[in-house]
Formats: sequence, structure tokens, C-alpha cells
Amino acid sequence: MDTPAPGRIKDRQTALRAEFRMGFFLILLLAIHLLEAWITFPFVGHQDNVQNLTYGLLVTAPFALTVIAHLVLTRGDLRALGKRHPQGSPSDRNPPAA
Amino acid sequence: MRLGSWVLDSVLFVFFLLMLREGRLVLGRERTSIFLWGSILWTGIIENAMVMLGGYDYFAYANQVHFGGRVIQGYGGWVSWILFVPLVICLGWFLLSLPALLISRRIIGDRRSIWLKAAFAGVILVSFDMLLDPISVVNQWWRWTSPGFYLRGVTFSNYIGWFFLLFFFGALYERTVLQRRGFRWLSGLEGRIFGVDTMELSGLELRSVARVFYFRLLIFLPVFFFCCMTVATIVTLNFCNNWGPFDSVFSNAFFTKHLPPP
Repeated sequence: MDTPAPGRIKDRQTALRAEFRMGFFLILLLAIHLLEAWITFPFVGHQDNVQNLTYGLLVTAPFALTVIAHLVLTRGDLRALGKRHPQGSPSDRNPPAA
Repeated sequence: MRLGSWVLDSVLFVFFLLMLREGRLVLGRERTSIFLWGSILWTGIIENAMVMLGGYDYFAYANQVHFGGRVIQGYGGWVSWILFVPLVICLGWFLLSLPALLISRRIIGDRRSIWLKAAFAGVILVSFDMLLDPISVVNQWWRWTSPGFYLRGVTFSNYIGWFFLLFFFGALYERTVLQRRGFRWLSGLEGRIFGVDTMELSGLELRSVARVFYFRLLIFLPVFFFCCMTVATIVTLNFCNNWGPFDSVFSNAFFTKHLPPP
């Protein structure tokens, strides 16, 4: 297999980090909506906000688990890329000061 | 506590900008732009059609918003609109569907069927929406006005719609923009319109690929409506438990004519 050019490795790392942040933002958005469910009126058919929260956690479980799996896989890919091409990653993590 | 529509407006606009930035890093600027404009076209048309058919509306805040002790006449509570639908609804769909599709590609695998990946992304999206919609209903960010099987104040047809929205859009985006390939049954018509063999798009500029993609979205609109309406009608005819909690601004005869009155 050809050794990828350093520029391509850097691009791949940038893309993977962006994908990781995307997953993080989704979890953050979910947390915001769970907070909204907790502080707003009880949903139709609910008596209190704890029911809102329980319902929210249950129905969004497939979403949350999938996003967490994505975060784990992306993290693994980033680590693997860092190990295979150690010269590409440290400079990305600690970019030189301007 | 009532959360005004500005809460959803603010949250979704901020997250839209964040996802747009990350999307550009993952897919590149042009392919993310194609996804964004495609989302606005796709959801803008579908959402407006559903509002005009009387399925739901976004007008609960109209002439109710006060500022400085006075009602702001005509202000619907949303920062900007695309006809009868708040812009943030289309942008919100973009910010959820772009990562859902990318996550689906990672989890299911790049080489699997486009339809399988799009279906998985659709399920992820529905799972999220099952929390967002009940919050929206109690805060009247939008109101359901059509008969159906209601769950926590939200008609089940909504979730069917969310699934098919990303199912078709995701599959079309993957096939056209990412794989740069076509559909055999469409290639004859596309060949006459675009003057190229659309079964293989890799030689085309992204701008031309974008045109093919938008065209395919328009072609798939009737397919979306057919699938969505068929499944939703079957569910409604068999399990309808609510005639619609609100009266629609538009006539909802489209949804009510096949049902016996309550």
C-alpha cells in the first residue's frame, strides 16, 4: 500500500476531528433538549416533568447510543492514524505559534 | 415554564453554524453547500405543502408577541420565514440530517447500499425528533391540525414523514454527490435535459453535479409524498385517536375527507 502524503494525512485528521466534534455537538443538542423537556410544561399525557425526562431518555436512546458509537469509532480512527503516521499528528495537535 | 419560539430559533441557528463549519471540514465547502441548498429546497417545498394542506402550522405566535408593552402586529414569533415555514425549521433539518448521514456511513459502512444507510440515518433522526416534537407541541412552536394516531400530542404521521424525508434525500445525496453515479430509470430523461450521461458523473464539475442532484430531488418529491401519504393514511385509518387538537389556518379537508367525523 502506498504511503499517503503528509498533506492527505493532515486532511484526514482534520476531517476525523470535525466528525468527532459533530457527534459532540449532537450530544450537546440532545442535552439542551432534555433540559428543555425538564423545565417546560409536562408533555401531553404526562403529569410531571420527571416523566418528560424519562420519556426523553427512552426515545432518544437509539440516537444517543449511535452517536456515542460514532464518537468511539472516530476516536479509534484518530488514534490509529496518529500511531501509523506519528509525524502527522503532533503538529496538528500543537500547531506552531504564529 | 413556557419556552418561546425564540429559544428554538436561537439554539438551532447556533448549532446550524457549528454543523456548517464542521461539515465543510468533512465533506468540503462545495459538497456541504450542495447539501445545504438541497435541504432548503427539499424541506422548504415539503413543509410548505404540508402546511398549505392543513397538516400543521407555525402560526401560534402570530399577533401574540409583545415588545415594550405593545403587540407586534403580524410577527409570527420566528426570525425569518420561507413562505409559511420558519427558515430555522429547514436549517434545523440540515444540522441534524448532515451528521446523521455521516454517522450512518461510519456505522453501517461506506460500501453498503445507499438505501440501507439512508434508512439507518432516518431512524436516528426519528429517535431525536420523538423528543423535540412533544416539547414543541406544549410550547406551541408548531401545532398539529390533522387527524391521526397521536402520541404525546404528536401525530405518528410526523415521524413517518421525518423518516422518509431523510431516507430519500440521503440516498439521492449519496448516489449523486458522493458516489457521482445515477439511476438507470432516470438516465434517459436526464440525458435529454443535461446533455450528458448521468450514470457516470465523476467527469463533471461539482456545479453540474449539484444541478443533477436538485433535479433528482424534484423528481423524487412525488415519490416521497406517495410513500409518506400511503403509510400515514394506513396508520390514520386504523389507529386514529385524535381529530386534530387545533383548527388549521388552511383547510385540512385533504386529511379529513376519508374519515368519519368525530
